[in-house]
Amino acid sequence: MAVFLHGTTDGGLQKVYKQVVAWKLELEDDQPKIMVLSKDKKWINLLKPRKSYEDTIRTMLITIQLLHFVRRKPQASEKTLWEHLRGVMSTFEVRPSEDDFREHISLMKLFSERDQVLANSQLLLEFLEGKPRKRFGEVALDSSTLNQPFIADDDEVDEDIKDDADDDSEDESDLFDSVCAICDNGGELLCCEGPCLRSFHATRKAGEESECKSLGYTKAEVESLQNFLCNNCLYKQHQCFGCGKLGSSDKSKGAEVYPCVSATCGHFYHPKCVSELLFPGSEAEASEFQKKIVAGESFTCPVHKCVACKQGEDKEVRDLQFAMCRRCPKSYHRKCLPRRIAFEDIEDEDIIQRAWDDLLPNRILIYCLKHTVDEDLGTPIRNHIIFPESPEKKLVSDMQKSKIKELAKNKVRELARDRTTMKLVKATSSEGNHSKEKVVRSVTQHAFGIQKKEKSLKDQSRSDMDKAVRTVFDDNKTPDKETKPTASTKPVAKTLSSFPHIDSETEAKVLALLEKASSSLSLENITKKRSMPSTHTCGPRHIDKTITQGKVEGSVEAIRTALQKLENGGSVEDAKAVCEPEMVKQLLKWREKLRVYLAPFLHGMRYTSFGRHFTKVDKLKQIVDRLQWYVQDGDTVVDFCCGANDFSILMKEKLDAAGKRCYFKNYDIIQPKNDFNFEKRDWMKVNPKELPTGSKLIMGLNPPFGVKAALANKFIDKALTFKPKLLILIVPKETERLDKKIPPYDLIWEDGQSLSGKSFYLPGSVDVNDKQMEQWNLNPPPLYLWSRADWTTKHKTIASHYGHTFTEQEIPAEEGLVKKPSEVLAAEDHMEQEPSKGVATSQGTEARKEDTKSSGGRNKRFSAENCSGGSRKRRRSKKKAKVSQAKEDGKLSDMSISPDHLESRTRSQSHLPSEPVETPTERANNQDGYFSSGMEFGVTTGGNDIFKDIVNDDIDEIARRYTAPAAGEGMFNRNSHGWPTGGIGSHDYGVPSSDSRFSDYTRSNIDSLSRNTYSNDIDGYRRISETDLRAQIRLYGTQGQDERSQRNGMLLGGSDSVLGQPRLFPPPSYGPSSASMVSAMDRYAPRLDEASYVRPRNQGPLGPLPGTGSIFDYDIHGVRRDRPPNSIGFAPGPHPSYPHPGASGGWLDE
Amino acid sequence: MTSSEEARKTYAEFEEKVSRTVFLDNLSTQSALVEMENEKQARALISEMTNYPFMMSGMPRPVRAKPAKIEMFADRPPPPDRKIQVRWVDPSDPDFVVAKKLKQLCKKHNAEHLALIKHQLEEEEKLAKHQEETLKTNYKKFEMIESIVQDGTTSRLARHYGVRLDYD
Repeated sequence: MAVFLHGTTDGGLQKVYKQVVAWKLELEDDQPKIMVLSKDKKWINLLKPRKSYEDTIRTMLITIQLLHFVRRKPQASEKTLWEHLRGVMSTFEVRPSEDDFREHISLMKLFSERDQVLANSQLLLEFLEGKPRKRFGEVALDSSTLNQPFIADDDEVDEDIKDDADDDSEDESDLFDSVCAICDNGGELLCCEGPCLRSFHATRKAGEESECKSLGYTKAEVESLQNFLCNNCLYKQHQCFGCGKLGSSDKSKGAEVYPCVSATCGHFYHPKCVSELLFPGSEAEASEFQKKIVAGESFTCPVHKCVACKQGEDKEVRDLQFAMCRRCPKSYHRKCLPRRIAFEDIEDEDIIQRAWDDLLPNRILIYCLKHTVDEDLGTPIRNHIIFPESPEKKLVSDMQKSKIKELAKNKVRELARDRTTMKLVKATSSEGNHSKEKVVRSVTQHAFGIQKKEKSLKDQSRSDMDKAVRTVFDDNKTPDKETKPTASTKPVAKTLSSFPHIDSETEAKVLALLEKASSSLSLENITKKRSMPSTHTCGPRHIDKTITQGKVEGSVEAIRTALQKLENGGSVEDAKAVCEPEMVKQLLKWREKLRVYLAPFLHGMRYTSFGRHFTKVDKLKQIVDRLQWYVQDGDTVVDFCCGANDFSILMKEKLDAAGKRCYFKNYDIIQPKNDFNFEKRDWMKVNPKELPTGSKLIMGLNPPFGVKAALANKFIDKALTFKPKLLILIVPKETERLDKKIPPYDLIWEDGQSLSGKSFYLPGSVDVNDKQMEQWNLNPPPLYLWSRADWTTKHKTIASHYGHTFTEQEIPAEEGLVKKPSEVLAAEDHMEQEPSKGVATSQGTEARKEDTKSSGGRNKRFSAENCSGGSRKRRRSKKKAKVSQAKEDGKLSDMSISPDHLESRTRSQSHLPSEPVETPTERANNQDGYFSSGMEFGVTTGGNDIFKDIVNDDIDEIARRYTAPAAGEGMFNRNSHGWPTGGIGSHDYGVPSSDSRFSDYTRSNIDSLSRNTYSNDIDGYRRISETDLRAQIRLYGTQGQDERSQRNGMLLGGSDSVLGQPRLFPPPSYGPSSASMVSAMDRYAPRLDEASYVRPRNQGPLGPLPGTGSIFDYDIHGVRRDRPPNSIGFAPGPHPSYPHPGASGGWLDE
Repeated sequence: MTSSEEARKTYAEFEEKVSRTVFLDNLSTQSALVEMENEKQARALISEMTNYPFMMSGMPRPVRAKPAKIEMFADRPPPPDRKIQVRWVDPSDPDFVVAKKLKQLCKKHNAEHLALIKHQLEEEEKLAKHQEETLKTNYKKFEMIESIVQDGTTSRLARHYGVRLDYD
C-alpha cells in the first residue's frame, strides 16, 4: 500500500505531495522528531498535523512526547511527566490523559525494546503493564506515583521551574479534596472560600455525570461570583462531622462546633462529639478534652489517625496512605483497609464497591461500612449536607409571605377603588369629595393617619385629593404602575419633558437600549480584539480560584499550630497530623502565585508592564562603541525589543561614521516615539523569512526578563531560529546560556560590570520631580556577546584586536601562555591518566575525594554546569552509572526504522559547524568519560546523536586527540564552553533575582540562599590548585554548613598566595598543542572568561555598594571585601554571608 | 480678501492640530486633550491606549483615548466660510414650531445622555468595588502567608520536617 504525504513546506509556501516509504522517530533532540522517507530518498521532518487530523494524531503525539520525556529523563516522576505533557500539548484542547496512550502500548513496547534507557524506565514500565487504576467518573489526573523516589535531575528541576512559570493550570489543589462535597465526584468544581475547604459542582451540568444535584447555579452566575462562600461558611453554621447536626461556628458569638486544626481537613465538630470519638473508652478524659476545646485549644480530629492501628498518615508511603470515609470521621491506612471495603464489586460475596483510588490526591475515597451504598448512585444517599438558611432571610421571607397575601387583598380592592376614583374624578366636586373619602376610608383601613388628614382636607380641591390617594398608594408599597390613575400622570409626564432632569421614562429607555447593546458584546470578543504580546497571553490575569481564603487561613493556622506543637516538645508525627510537610511547600507556591498576581499592586511605582525596562542611552553608547567593530558592511542589526528605539539610531550613527552601510530593523509591541525602522510587531511572530540570512544578522539587545528569566529565554530562543551570526544580550544570569543551546553559540565576551548601577529606566515613568524613574539592579544583568560557532574565530580575532576581552581585565597579551587556574585544574584532571605530565596529580585526586565527600551534603538542585570544575567532578562521581549507560544508548538509541541510516546521520550532522562543537549534554558526558581514558571519551561522545557521526567515523582519531599529550582542541573546547558557565555563578542563586521585581518581598530568602550556596563556594575553592588551601577546604567539608558559611571570608583572607598561583603553573603539556588554528583560538576562551575572575583584583577593594556590583558584587560580596586581591577562581560562589537584607536582588529603587 | 484667506489658513492649521490631538477621557475626574507631534503618533497613541491597560503607579486606570474632535476645543476659530445670522422669530411664524421642536429634541437628548452617564458611573463604581474586593481578599491571603513566611514559621517547621523550601 502506498502512503502519501500531503502538506505544505517553507512556512506554507510550497505544497508537498509525495509518496513515503518509511518513517522514523528521533527522541534525542530537544523535541521529538518524526520523519518520513520520501520515495526519492529524502527524509522529511514532520512538524504540525493538519487541523483536521489533530484529533486522530493527538494520542499518538502524546505517546511520542511521553517516550521522548522518559528517554531524556528516565528518573523523572510521573508528576513531572504529566506536567511536561500538559505543557507540550497545551495547544490541543483536550488535556493529555492516560487513556491517550493506552492505544499505543504496542508502539511503546517497540521502543522500549529498542532503547536501553526506555527499557529501564520504571515509569514506562508501569504504563506498559497498565497499572490497575480504578476510576469513577472524571478523575483528577494528577496522581503522582509515590513509590518513585523523587530524584530530581538538575535539568529537570530547571524545567520544573519553567513549567511552573508557564503553566498555571498545574495541579494546585493537590493537598485538598478535589471532589464535590455533594456527590464525591470530580469534575468542574467551585471552591468555597470559607473554612469548610469544600468544593461543589456549581451547575447541574458540571455534576451531570454523577447525577449530582449540585448547587444549582447557572453558568452566568458562577462566572459572576467573585468569592464564593457556601451557605455554611456564609452564615457560620457548620455541621458536626460526628453527629451531622448544624451548629454555629462563629467564635465571636459563642461557637457550638469547632474546626479541626489540620490544614487540609475542614471538618467541624461539637466538642462533645469529637472528645467522645477521640477517647472512646474513658469518659473522664473525654470531658476533660471537651473543656479544653471549648476553652479554645486546637485539636486534630479522629480522621487523622487510622481506626485500625491508631497510627498517622504518610502520603509518601503507599501503604500508609489514608482511606477516608466521606460521611463520617473514619480513616484507614491502605494496609488496614477491611476487605469488605473493596475497590470493586464482588458479586458472590455481595460486596459492593466502596473505595476509589485516584479521586483524592494520594488518598483513597471510601464509604465505610456504616453507610448503605445506593446501587443506582454508587454512593450512599446524598442527604448528608445541610445548608443553613440565613436567619435574616428566614425573617424576610416570612414577612414577605404575609405581605404578599396582604398585597393581594389590597390589590383587588384598589382596583375596584381605582375605577371608582376615575369615575368620581369626573363627578362634581362636592359629591366627589364625599364619595372619595368613603372610598379611601374603606380601602386603607390601616392608614388611619392619612384618613384623618383626609378628613381635615375635606373641602380641598380635586388635585389635592389625587395626591392623597397617591400617598396612600406609596404607603402600601403597591406595584402602582398599572393602577396609577392615568388622568393624573399624563399631565405630569408632559411637564417633565421640558425639564432636563432625568425622568424614569428616559432612564428606562436608555437602560433598554444599553441592554440591547451590551447583549451583543461579550468579554471574550473584546479580549480577542486586544492583541496581547504572545508571551503574555496566558499571564496571571486571573488568579487561581482554588486558592481560597479558607484554605489559606486554615493552612496558616495549621502551620503555626504544628510548629508550636513541635517547639513544645511534641512529636513530628503529631505535627504532621496537623500540617503535612507538603502543605508548607504548597503554601509557598501559593505565595508565589499571589505575588505574581498582585505584582502591580505590591510594587506600585516600580511595576512595569510586560517587564519593560529600557537601557539608558549612555549605556547603549558604550555598548555600541564596542559592538560596532563586529558589524560588517551590509549587515542587518535587529533589535527585537527595542523599547525607546535608541540602540539602532546610535548604532547607525557609529556605523555611518565608519562608512559601513547597514540595515536596521526594530521590533517591539509598543510603539516608541522614535519610529526609525520600527515595526510594531510581536517578536515571537516574526517569520524567519522576513529577515536576511543569519550570517548577515546581528541581534540584540535587552529582552524583558520575566519571572525566572522565562521571557528572556523565549526571546533568545526565537532569535536563534534566525541563526544570527552575533547576538548581543543584556539578560539576567539565570537565563539559559547560549552555549547550552543546540547548536551552541560561543561566548565572545561577557561583561558583568558595565550595566551595574543605574543602567535602566522604566518607560514613561515620571516621579514627583518629573524625572524619569531609574532602575537598577543589585544583581546587574551582564552584557553578553555570543557568536555563531562558524563565526567565532573571526569575532574572537576582532575581540582581541580591539581589546574587548582585555581592556576589562587588563591582562597582558602574553597571558595567552599563562594558564589561569581553570586550565591548570583542567590539565590536572586530564593528566590523571598520564602521570608523566605531572601537574599536581595527587592534588587532583585529593580534590576529587573531597568532592565526593562534600557532595553528600550538597543539595541536588545544583546543576553541574553551573558549578565549576569541582562540581563537574562531582557529577562524574554521582553519575558514573549513567554515563556508562549513556554509552550504550549511543548505539542503541538509533530508533529509525528505515533503510537509510547513514543518510540521516549525515543530515543531522550537517547543521553543525565544521569543528566539533559539543552540545551541553554531551559536554557533561565528555567530561565524565574524559577522566577514565581517552578511548572512552570518544565512545561516550558517541552517546549523543549529533556528535556520534563524527565519532563513528573516526573514533580513533578523536581518541588520539584527547589522549595525546598535546591536549588537543577537544580539551580546549571543553574549557571554552565549560568555563563560562562556571563563571556566572549558580543557577540556583539566580532564581531569586529572576523575579527581581519582587525583591523586597523576599526578605527571608537569605536563609535559603545561604544553604544553597555552599557547594558553589567549595567548588570555587577547589579550582585553585593550591595545597594549603586544599587543606582548608577539607576543613570545610567536615564542618557544619552554617559554620562553613561563616568561615568563608576568613579562610579566604588567609590565602593570599593564591593569586599568583595559577601563573606559576605553566603546564608544559599545553605548549605543543597550539599547533592548530582552532585550538589556538579556543584557547582564548578561558582567558575571556577570565574577565570575570581577574577583574576584581585590579579593581582593588570595592565597597559593597549595592548596584555597583558585577557578578562579584553580588555573588561574593563578603569575599571580596575580605580579600580583594585574591578573587581568582572564587567567583562562582555566591557568598552566603551576604550583607544586604535585600539580597534576593532585583530591581530596587532607592 | 486677505482676512478670509487668513481665516482659512488659521482654520486649516487648527484642523491639523485637531487631527494630531488625542482626547483622554476618564483620567480621574477630568479629561485632557493631548497634542502630539504628528497624526501618526496620535494614532499610535490611541491604538496603544486601547490595546493595553493604562497603568499609573502600577495600577490600571480606566483611561480612554479617542481622536479629538473640533467641538472639543473651546478656543476654536470659526469655520471661514460660515455666516451666522441671528433673527427674532414671531410665535406665529412657521419657523417658530421648527425651532421649538429642535429645542425640545435637544433637551431630550441631553436628558438621555445624562441618564446614560449616570448609569455608566454606577456601573463603574460597581466594578471598582468588585475589583477592590478581589484585590483585598487576594492581598489578605498573601498577607497571611507572608506573615508566617516572614516570621520564619515556615522555615522552622520545614527544618523540623527536614524539608527543603525553595524561597524565591
